[in-house]
Parts: sequence; structure tokens; C-alpha cells
Amino acid sequence: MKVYTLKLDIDSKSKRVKSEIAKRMVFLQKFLGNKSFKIKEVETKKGYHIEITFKPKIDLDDKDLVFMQLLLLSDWKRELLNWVRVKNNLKNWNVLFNKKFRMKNGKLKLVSEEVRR
Amino acid sequence: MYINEIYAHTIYPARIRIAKWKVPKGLRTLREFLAFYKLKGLSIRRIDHPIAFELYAKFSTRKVFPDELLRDFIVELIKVLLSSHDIRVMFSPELFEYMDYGITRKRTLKAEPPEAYIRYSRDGIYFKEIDITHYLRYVLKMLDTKYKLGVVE
Repeated sequence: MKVYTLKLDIDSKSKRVKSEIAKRMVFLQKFLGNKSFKIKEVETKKGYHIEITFKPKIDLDDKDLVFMQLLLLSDWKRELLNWVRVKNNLKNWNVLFNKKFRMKNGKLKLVSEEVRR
Repeated sequence: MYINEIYAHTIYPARIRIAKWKVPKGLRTLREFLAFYKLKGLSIRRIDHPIAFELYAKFSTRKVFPDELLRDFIVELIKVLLSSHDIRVMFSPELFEYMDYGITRKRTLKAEPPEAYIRYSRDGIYFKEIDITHYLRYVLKMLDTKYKLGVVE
């Protein structure tokens, strides 16, 4: 059995979104037939970065992983681009930043950052 | 040992406005749409701008790569890239200013060789990749002699 990692970029801190993700995760877990999900959650300025490691009974490809990330409410724009990257067989398609910067007048400004707890 | 991954991307934001004019039926391609947009006096400066433009660089260092150095690194890398004729012809220098830059650092025992490429898509469906690892090696060498980061080749 292979180990897979899902990387979710959640742009909301509301409890409703969190409970919706949990609901979907439980369903997905039952559907894939794996015993447990290993979850690592890091808070960001807007929401959360979540890393889920799991061992399903079936083999999955990169497109399946993109679909699952979208199903678990990850940022839709990110997932659309991930899907295009996977479709074009590009490496390193699943990226989550620890820190994000934007350039303004030739200077880099910190836009968002993961908060370690 | 630290593995640093720098990822930069430009994606044009979707600007939704109530149109004062109707888009005629029968526009099938992006090029046709842009030509129509130009007719209305709302043209963008270059129609050959890629829809998605990304830059990826990965390298290992013995010391932590600080955020303050990230700016120097990116500025140097852009300078080196734009000094290359191939890349200057293909992409406008402004594109690098519109980008979002992200960094991820991982602590590991094993170093990984440096790797860098530019990915771009002009139609939003197909991506092309240009290997720029040799430019990255040059910039890393320059920064390493200046800041003693312990870059692993």
C-alpha cells in the first residue's frame, strides 16, 4: 500500500467550513477504506494549511489527489492550476508556502505566513 | 541541512464588471476575444503575455536561508534571467513584478541537487517548461561567496 499526501489551502477560519471539511473527510475515509488519516494543521493569516497523509486500499494517481483536495474545500483556483499542471505531467505540482511575498516597487513584502503552534 | 523551495507565480485576476457592451456571439478563442477587447479600447499592452507564468527553484543549504536574503536572491535571479536573450525575448520584465513569491523550508539529512525551471502557459491548457538550473547555480555561487550559506551542489 502506497502512502499519499493531500495538501489543502483553506481560505476561511469559520467553524462551519471546518465542520464541513471534517464531514467530508469522514466520508472519504470510509469510501477509501483506510483506517486513519494523519493530519497536520497550520494556521495562516486567512485560514489554514492542512496536510493529510493516508494509506488507501486502492491505487490513486495525481488527478485523484487534485480531485480529493478540491472535495475537501481547498482553494478552487489553486486546484484548477494543480489539475492543469498534473494534466501536463509537471513535477512538484502540489505546493503550499510557509511564507508568501509580493513585490511592490522592487521590494518584497510579506503577504501571509504560517503560524506554528 | 535545509531544502529551500522557492515558487513564484502570476495568475491574472478575474475582474468581473458589468459590461456596457455585449460580447458578440461566435468568439471561440482567447485571441479572438482579445482582438475584440482591443477594438473597444480596453486592450492590454501585449497580447502574447502568458496566462500562467511560474518560476520554481529548489536548492539545499547547510545554514538557514533567511527571508532577507530571499529578496536579494530573487532580484539577482531575475537580473540573470533577463540578461539572457532567450528569456528576455519571450517574457516581459514586468511579469516578474506581478508575481507572488512563496518559500518553503524543510529540514532534512540528505541534500538534493539544485533544480529550477520556468513554466508558462499561453492558452491556460498546455504548459511549457524551460530549464533554468544553470542560471540558478550561477546565482547561488554568487550568493554563497557573499553570505556563506553553505550551498550544496
